[in-house]
Amino acid sequence: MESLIKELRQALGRRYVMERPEELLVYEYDGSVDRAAPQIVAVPADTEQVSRVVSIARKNGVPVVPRGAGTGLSGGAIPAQGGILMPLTRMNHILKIDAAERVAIVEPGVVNIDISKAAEPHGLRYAPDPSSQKACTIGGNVAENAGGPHCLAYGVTTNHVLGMETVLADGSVVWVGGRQHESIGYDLRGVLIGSEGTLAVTTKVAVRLQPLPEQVTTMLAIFPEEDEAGAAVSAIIASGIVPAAIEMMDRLTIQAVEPAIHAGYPADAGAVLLVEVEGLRESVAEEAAEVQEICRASGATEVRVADEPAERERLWAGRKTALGALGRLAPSYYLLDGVVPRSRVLDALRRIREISQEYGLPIANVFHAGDGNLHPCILFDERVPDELRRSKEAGGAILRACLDLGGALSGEHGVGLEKQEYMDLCFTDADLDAMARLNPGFASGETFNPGKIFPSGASCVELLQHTAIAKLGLDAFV
Amino acid sequence: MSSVRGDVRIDAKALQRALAGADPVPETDLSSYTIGDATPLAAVRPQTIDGVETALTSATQFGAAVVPWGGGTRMGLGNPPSRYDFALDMRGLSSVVEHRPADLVVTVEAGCTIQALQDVLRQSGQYLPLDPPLPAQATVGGVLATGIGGPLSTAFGTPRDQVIGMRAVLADGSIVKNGGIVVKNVTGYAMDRLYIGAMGTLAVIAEATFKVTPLPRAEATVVATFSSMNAAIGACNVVVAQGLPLLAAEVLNGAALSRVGQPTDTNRDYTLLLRVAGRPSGVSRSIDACVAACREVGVANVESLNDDPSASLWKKVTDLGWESGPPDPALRLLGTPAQSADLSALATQGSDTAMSVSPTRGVVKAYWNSDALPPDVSSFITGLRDAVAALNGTVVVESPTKREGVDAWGPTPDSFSVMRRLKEQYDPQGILNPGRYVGGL
Repeated sequence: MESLIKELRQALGRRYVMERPEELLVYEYDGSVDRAAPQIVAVPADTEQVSRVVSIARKNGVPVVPRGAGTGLSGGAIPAQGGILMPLTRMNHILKIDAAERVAIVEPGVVNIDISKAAEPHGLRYAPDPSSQKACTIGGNVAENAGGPHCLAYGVTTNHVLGMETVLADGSVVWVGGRQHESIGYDLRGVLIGSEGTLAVTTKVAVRLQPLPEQVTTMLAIFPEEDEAGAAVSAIIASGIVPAAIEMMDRLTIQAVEPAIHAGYPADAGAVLLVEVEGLRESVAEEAAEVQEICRASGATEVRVADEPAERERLWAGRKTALGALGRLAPSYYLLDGVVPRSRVLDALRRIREISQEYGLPIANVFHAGDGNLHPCILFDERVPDELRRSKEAGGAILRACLDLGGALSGEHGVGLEKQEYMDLCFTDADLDAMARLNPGFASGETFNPGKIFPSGASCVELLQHTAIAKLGLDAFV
Repeated sequence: MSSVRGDVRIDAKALQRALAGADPVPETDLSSYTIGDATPLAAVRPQTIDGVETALTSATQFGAAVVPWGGGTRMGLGNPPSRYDFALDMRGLSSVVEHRPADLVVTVEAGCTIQALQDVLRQSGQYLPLDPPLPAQATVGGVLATGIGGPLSTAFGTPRDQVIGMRAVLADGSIVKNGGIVVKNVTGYAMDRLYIGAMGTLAVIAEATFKVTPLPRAEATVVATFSSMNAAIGACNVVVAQGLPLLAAEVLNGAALSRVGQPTDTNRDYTLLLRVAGRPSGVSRSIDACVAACREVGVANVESLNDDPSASLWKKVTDLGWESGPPDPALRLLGTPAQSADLSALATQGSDTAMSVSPTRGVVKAYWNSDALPPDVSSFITGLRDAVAALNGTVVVESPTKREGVDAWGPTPDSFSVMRRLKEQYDPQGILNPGRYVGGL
């Protein structure tokens, strides 16, 4: 260990290699509250230093866990098997905004929203917008194939990344994809995006920028009942309109949000729907009118409309602070990420209500309704005997319900540590074996983020001990 | 009969017996599976995914080299197979498994043609924004194996960007899936990305689930003729910068334009085609804005086509070069959007170069009649490759398969060692389309 630290300090400089327990403390957790301590934290400044850290780790047989802002919700940045935790936050430079090519070249530690801010003077933006976009980094987005509310119209991270510079387990530096829209050879870029830091480390990202829309209109519709809001979502999709975003909050969430932000939601509201349409001003005006009509016809008692940025921001405020506000209702919550076909959202919500009653725990729902990506939030009190166990079991029941409805385990948070034991519910041994062959293909061995994604064979009881139970925090996002 | 390929000797009769359970094709039809000068010992056309499993299990057992077939429109892409024992014709798996209009997703077997799929989707007012040449022949599996889309890539990206789930059969016969029928999914590695565009060298694609899109209520195309390629591309860039919702944008030179049946006075014309779609009000203003942008740059002539005439023009543009059999040769130059003009200048060789440029994507497609090329075509392609490599770009020979002294793909990418290891992992015996892809993969 001493010689390992010495080697790392020679490579990075003394202050960028930490080993004292009090220095390591803040790196034990991420947005999930899985915890595991690294032995060493090494913070490289550039690609060459990343390569040196990886080579030193490999030589010493120690794993490396890359980390962005640590906002991930599935334990992706937790050093499950110890080793070297490698934050990429010093590599936070926007290297180039090329308006003519509509591409940005950025380092992995650049915060998501800063790309759009830098592109805005050129009339461009980076489309994927995870709710944590003011904190999360593009490197983490690439690792998790991050989504966000506006992915309904524009797709997720993989649809917007042209290429990455990566460091492989032997320390070599290679580009996968590039600045071209088409390239030859296997799509290594495509498999690395969403591989949760298990195969390679991303050191530069080439992202596609798109022109800013001419007009954006946001609508907030208040419904007495959840089912009416759900019906409105289906009717909007059926009308042939593809909004940029359709977000929904249920009754319990509204009850938490209203006292926090005083948005004027009626006390008895059953659901709030946020719908955003954007594009050419003529089309947006027509689509917005149709959306309002559909919402009213489906039972909305009130529809608020905003075209100006500040007003739109106000309509979004309730949605954006929802998770923090839920902290008012209970001391702890377990936030899930499941996905169902969009036509089955109401069935999923019904099933979640039943599970809530069955386990005697309130469950709030605030989610991306347009693409069926649910975020049930189980509220509980850790101090009450048995509530932690029940919340875990309820979470498992909800994930199974999503799968039963034709859905998947994770829409945007990833598998990480949180869901690895559920993987064999939806994949056969052959499916998992095909995925596992990527590791020898990239010759990554046990070097990068070991112990993630694949089932470890731990029982559900053990699982209880190490899943994502979040303490209430106002800085949580979904 | 037996075939000796390298050190592998295949007993043809034994192989044919083993393939009996996978819907063999009569021996008299084998010639339709010829690639270059190689005809296989056998061909199967399974009707189910289990038949595909049987075929590949037998291939593994015999060490027999398999070439998967779809509609055969792109069999000229890639180097000739280094070994070729039997053809696996996927057109027996041709059903649309499930279309869920309310979810905007469709699951379809690999052998279904793009046209047949679009016909089903259209009944619900939807379509798959994927437009390869010859859609009535091209199959879903074949298009995904090549990973090459058509002009709609301007708005919708490559075929990869449309896929949300896949079932594939590995070389050892195991049936594997990933993704699903939901539009957002990060459960496990995105294996479909690896198989798409891999030219059938890692796995045989059996079924895919796509995101689909509502059919637009209206569409129109601006046809604008310029005196230089630079001016045409410049006009396109002005339109893109205004954020207008372009479905497709291509610049055709004079030779290409006459191929799609548009009137052209001279081979020195460069015609920008801008396709917009959406609500009638938006389309009409987009057309006005496109016309204004073209005038700003200095257009020689500009007109617009609405709805049906617009759609049928794009059908011809999509098939360009492939209307009457595989072109000889067809080249695809890959660079960045801003390099489009430079790439097109490099590819111009003689007056008969038919060229279609995608300025938003940095892709140039060039086609010749072979008699319009200099006698030493190989050295022309090699020279072009060197010039394009200086721009960090790539030249792919899309057709025909075999040309003396020219590799279909050119130099291997930086990450080739990873690709080779992946090939060893997924196809350790080297029986899936051996030698067809980059660097002999």
